[in-house]
Amino acid sequence: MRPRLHPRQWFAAARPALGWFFRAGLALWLIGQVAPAPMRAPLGDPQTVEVVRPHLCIHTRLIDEVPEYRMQQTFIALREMGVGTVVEFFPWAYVERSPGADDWSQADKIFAHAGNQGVRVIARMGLVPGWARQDDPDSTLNTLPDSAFDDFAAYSARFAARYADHLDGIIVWNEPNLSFEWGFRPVDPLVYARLLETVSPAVKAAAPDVPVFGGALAPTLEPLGSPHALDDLLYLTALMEAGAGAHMDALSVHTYGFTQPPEADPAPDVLNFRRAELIQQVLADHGYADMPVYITETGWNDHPRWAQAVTPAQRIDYTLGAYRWAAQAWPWAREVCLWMFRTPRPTYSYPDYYTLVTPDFDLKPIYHALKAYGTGETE
Amino acid sequence: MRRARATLILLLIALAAPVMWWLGQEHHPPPAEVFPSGELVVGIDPSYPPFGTLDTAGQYAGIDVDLGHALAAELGLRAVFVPLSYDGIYDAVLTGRVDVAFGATVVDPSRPASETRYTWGYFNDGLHLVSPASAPLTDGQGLTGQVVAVEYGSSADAEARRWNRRVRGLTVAHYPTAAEALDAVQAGNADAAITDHTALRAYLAGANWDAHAAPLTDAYLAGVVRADRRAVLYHLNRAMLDLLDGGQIDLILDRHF
Repeated sequence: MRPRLHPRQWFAAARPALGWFFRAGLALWLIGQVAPAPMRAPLGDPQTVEVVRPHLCIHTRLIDEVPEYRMQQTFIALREMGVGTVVEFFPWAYVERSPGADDWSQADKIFAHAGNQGVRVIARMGLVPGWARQDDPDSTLNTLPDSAFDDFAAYSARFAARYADHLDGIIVWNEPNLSFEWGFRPVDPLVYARLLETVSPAVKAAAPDVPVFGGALAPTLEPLGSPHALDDLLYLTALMEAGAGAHMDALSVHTYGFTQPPEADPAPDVLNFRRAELIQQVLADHGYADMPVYITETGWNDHPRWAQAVTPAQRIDYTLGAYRWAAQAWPWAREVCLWMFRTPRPTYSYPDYYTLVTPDFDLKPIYHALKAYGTGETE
Repeated sequence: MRRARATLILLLIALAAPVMWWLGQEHHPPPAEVFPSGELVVGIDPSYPPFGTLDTAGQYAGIDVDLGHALAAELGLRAVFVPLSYDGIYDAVLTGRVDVAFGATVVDPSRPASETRYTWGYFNDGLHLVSPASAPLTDGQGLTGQVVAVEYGSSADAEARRWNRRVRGLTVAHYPTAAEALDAVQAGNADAAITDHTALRAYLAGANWDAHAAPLTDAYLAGVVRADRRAVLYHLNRAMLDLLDGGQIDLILDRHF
């Protein structure tokens, strides 16, 4: 039988081993603290964009971007294209995650790099934090209860005041004529008119010089009563008749070419690039012929199999043709913003084929074509 | 005494094992209770052939539609289809508008598992390096000095451009379509092509060509289910595995390629 050790004897015997144990632990902890330094993206000398094509504008997606250098890389690439304005998304849900506690860190980075490269921003507002949706499990980020209109207006006003010097405008909501963009509520232009009526005065009070854009309607032919959506021409007509024009400084328009060339004639039962002309006519018919129109989403897709796509070569031709068309025939259009520059990560589906740059920042041929056009190298 | 104690412990372990196994299993009500309407509501994207499209009669058709019917049949249900755009797929699942959404959705590990889960994958649409079986290429290592054909502007093009920066002497040849890129390999104008699996299967279905296809990337297509609907996911996964094991998924894919 082995003799039992007194605890003090046991400790004395184990002491060398314990010493090494603690040293090893300390070494592991120190190694754990060693991490590669984050990629730095220091702001350099302020730049300006040489804008040769005033309509050339691109929609970016930087609010989900993690490495800051990617933001900088994006705005440098845009400046080199001659792009003076971008549209970017600033979700309420990302900033005010709990009531009254704003986290502007990501937005601050975006505006810092945009400003440093001389690029101005049109901000798209949307996405509702859980607390404003009463944490309804059946809601989506697009569910905006009427009870949250005031909070959304207050967020928009704080945003506009904070970034007023860099903003060309803010877009109130996105594609309200689609049910899923309203959290699958029935589409109702009167509800959106009320939202504009709530948000616009709040923004004007906080940042009088920041234009408020309404609309941003999705191009669709869905008839009245459809559970999915409402035709953008019908929707805008109802919106104007509800007096929403008084609460908008400009109209935001989404118009896509789908499989048709940019010159294809518009018609109420056709979705193509020049549908924007019919949208502008609705404004004119309601006494707003002089209201500026910003095309905040447009473009063609070159996915190999998507039913609404064209070939990559057609995409380049059509996109350049669209800019030429807008420059010659659309005096009411201030910007034509292409959807979209890049996504932070792939969708592995056809949305990836709207971009100019891959998530890894490989520049696609259309980027080079647009850069040549934007810098005046080509006509 | 010691032997008796050991025997008793072994006996307890032997008895506890099946209980532990049973406790580790998911237990859900049968499909008839999980789907009381008798319907499996399936979201599809009808703008994305061959997975979702409209046939000449204006009816929903494609791989995802056939898969929805097959899964419903396995569960003793009737499939009902809801058209979705890509942007609306996840929201439709989260709001319970559909039991499962397909829409050729690729498993995206960055999406929060607290919101949605994926079923078993039914098709891997990743990129493949395609070469003649007589001169097979398995990866980028063998491409020094070779010509690789790709569809201009495609994800295969992006992959080839990446390789072009790493592999000495690699030439990337662009073609208007994936089929023409594969034609170039078959005609000896290129050493290999890169295409996604859908384009490859569609091409090989109509070509009498002995090709070697080496997978380069994975892009598993799967159904999307709301995370808290565990019973739905459980039954769909069981049905999906039965269809995979029984070869019905292959039959569905063969029908559309």
